Amino acid sequence: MSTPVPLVDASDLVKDYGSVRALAGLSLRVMPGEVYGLLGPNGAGKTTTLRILSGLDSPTAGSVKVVGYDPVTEAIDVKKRTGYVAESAILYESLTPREYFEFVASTRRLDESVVKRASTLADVFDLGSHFDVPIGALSLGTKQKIAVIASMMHSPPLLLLDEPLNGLDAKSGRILKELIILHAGNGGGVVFSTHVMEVAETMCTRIGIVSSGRVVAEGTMDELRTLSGRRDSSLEDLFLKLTDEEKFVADAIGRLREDSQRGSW
Amino acid sequence: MDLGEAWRASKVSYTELVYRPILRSGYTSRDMGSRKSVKTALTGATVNKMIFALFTMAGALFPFALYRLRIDSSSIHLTSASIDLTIAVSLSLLLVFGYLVLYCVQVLPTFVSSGSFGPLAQLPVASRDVSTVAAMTLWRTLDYILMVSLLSQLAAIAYFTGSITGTLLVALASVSSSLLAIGLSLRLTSLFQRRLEGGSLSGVRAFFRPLYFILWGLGVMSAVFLFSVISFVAPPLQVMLTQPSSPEGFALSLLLPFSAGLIVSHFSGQNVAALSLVLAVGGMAIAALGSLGASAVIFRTIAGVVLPTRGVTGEGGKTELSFRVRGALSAYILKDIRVSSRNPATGFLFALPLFEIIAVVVPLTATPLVRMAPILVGAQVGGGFALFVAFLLVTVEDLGVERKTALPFSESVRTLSKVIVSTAAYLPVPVALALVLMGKALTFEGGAIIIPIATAGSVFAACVFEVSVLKALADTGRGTAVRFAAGIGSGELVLILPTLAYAVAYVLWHDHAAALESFGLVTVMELAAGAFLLRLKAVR
Repeated sequence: MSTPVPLVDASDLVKDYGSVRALAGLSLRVMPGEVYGLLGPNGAGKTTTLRILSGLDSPTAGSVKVVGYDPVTEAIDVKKRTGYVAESAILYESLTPREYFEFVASTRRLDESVVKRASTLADVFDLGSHFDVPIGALSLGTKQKIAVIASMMHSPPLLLLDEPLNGLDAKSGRILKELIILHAGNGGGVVFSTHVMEVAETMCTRIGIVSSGRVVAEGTMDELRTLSGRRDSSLEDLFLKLTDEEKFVADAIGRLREDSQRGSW
Repeated sequence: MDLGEAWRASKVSYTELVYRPILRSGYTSRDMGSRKSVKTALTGATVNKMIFALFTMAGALFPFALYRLRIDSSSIHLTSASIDLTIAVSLSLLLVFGYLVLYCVQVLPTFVSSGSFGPLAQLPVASRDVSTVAAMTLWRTLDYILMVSLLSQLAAIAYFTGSITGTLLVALASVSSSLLAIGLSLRLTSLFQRRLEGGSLSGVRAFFRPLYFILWGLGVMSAVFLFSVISFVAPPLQVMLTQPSSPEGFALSLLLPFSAGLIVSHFSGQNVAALSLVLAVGGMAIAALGSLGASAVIFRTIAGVVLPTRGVTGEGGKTELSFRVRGALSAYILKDIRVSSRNPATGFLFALPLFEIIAVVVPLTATPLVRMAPILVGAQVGGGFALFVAFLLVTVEDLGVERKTALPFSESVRTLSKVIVSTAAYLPVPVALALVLMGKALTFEGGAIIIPIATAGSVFAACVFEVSVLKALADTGRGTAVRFAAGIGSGELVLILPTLAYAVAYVLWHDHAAALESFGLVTVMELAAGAFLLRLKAVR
């Protein structure tokens, strides 16, 4: 039996923006059927990682293959096989969702079967009443739904989702989580970044904790617990310990409590 | 909030206004994220404003230069350039009005949609204060252009007439005209914004949209390109203004730029008919009142326009959740047309084909014998309009959206879409030329129609080069003026080469047929180079 090819195989990625080092040797491997959660403090390098994987940015150093292609030299091949949702939905705001989906499906050169898939997705996300309204006039959550549908309409093997639950209401969030699980269940892969620990804890088959541009810990919840030496910890506790922020948070809370007791608040 | 605080707050909003589009465009540089990148953005915006201010100054002074020419050559018969002071003042005001509207409709959509005023809206600041800050930010956006146009016109009047009253009147007319231009642009932008927020884009309004664009687009384009047809426009205007009892003379004397021209001429000791003067004084009074109204509209509507709006819910009921899948290129072309037709900065490009027909055909109508030169120039002018369309198409969409969107476009699809739309905008030129040349005597019958048709190939190649230059510059974060100069300049360079080849060959051999062959050869070479460039982009 042949070993499955990884959907993401990145090693020692470095990305510099001028004097700022966003990634400092990040390595990552995601297999088919996996939901891989990227967790990290603000500015840890999660968005940069996802942008590099989706072919929107190129690393300063390191090597990366996405669905078997190099996103730097074969960006179009990568984009054909991935669905990307940015942290803030990037859409043509003067188009309506109907026009936008038509544009995305046509430029991806999809056949008519995509209409049914996109219509189903639009229906489950309750997008019907917004279908002919310019996107610029819609709420953040509705824009996010449009971005999610556009990223999934071509059934890509790999989804790259940057904070995909941003702005979504509980109902839509639940549907998106289900879609992600179904996608992985069908042999697809998902890499997504999130700040919501519960989401990562319940959905991810593996979690990578990113700090200062590197994956500082990686594994299933059990593996992370073993790694931290705390068998009963929540993901939030593990996260703070593994990113060396435990002491900082304890000190900050201590100061706030002292101030509060002194009546400074 | 006092005026000092509002002025300081407007500096923050202005910086946001300049910096956000660069961030959103996806432009990354070594300095991105540092304080230096903000300073660089502000410097770029200042350079941009200075370049547009220079254009405006040229427009403001050009009619006075022609007036000066008339004074110097009063003993020489120089009909085409001969304009009087009334026309010089009027056309100067009209040109600046056109430039200002054109600049405002380019700037205001960003002003409205940048979200620069969002943070202000979250603070406990009264709507009136937001208006004050927004108006001050608008001033910071337009300051150089407004100051330079006003000072140029004042200096010209003071120099030519030495009349203090005349100079003060021009100041009043210039300020009124500028306020009306800003008010009109703001109104136009807010109309678009409301339409985008208001729900469906289909139906009756969609039907009238092209008509609306053509009407106002023609008006603004006429004012902007006035300088190129000034010698055709000035003589009939002069005649009309000397006949205030005629309907057209009556109407013109009441209209702002002409009423100001008549009054300034009167106070400069020139002979103006009594009825004209009465009408002009009335016209100036109406314009002054109108500009006061425009200021009130600017102040009243600006806060509503710049503040972020909440999302809307569409119409209820069962909607057919389907769409049509097209070919990639046709979908891209359709997207370009849709996006540009819903933006006031570019909507008027739909009026360009009609305008270019007028600009190309009018100079030929009065000539019984048509030589090759006006046909070559006409095709060049038409091609120039196509380059302008390409520039607007590239500019209208946030370039960053394209580069950030994780869709599998190749560069060639992006470029080809804009090139096809721009070249299509040129196609009415050969048709119009063919119609106007029917029944006219021609010095070289064979080339008269072949040249405008062959120029379509050169226009295609020129647009490929222009779009490529613009895309390359987008990655450097250059300002609009620099991109405009580099993009249009590179396109013009390609466009003019076949005409140069024609001229050189004709000078060498005095043979139109040989010159036409050279023209064709260079055009074919340009097309091949354009196709090669597209092919290079296809693999990226």
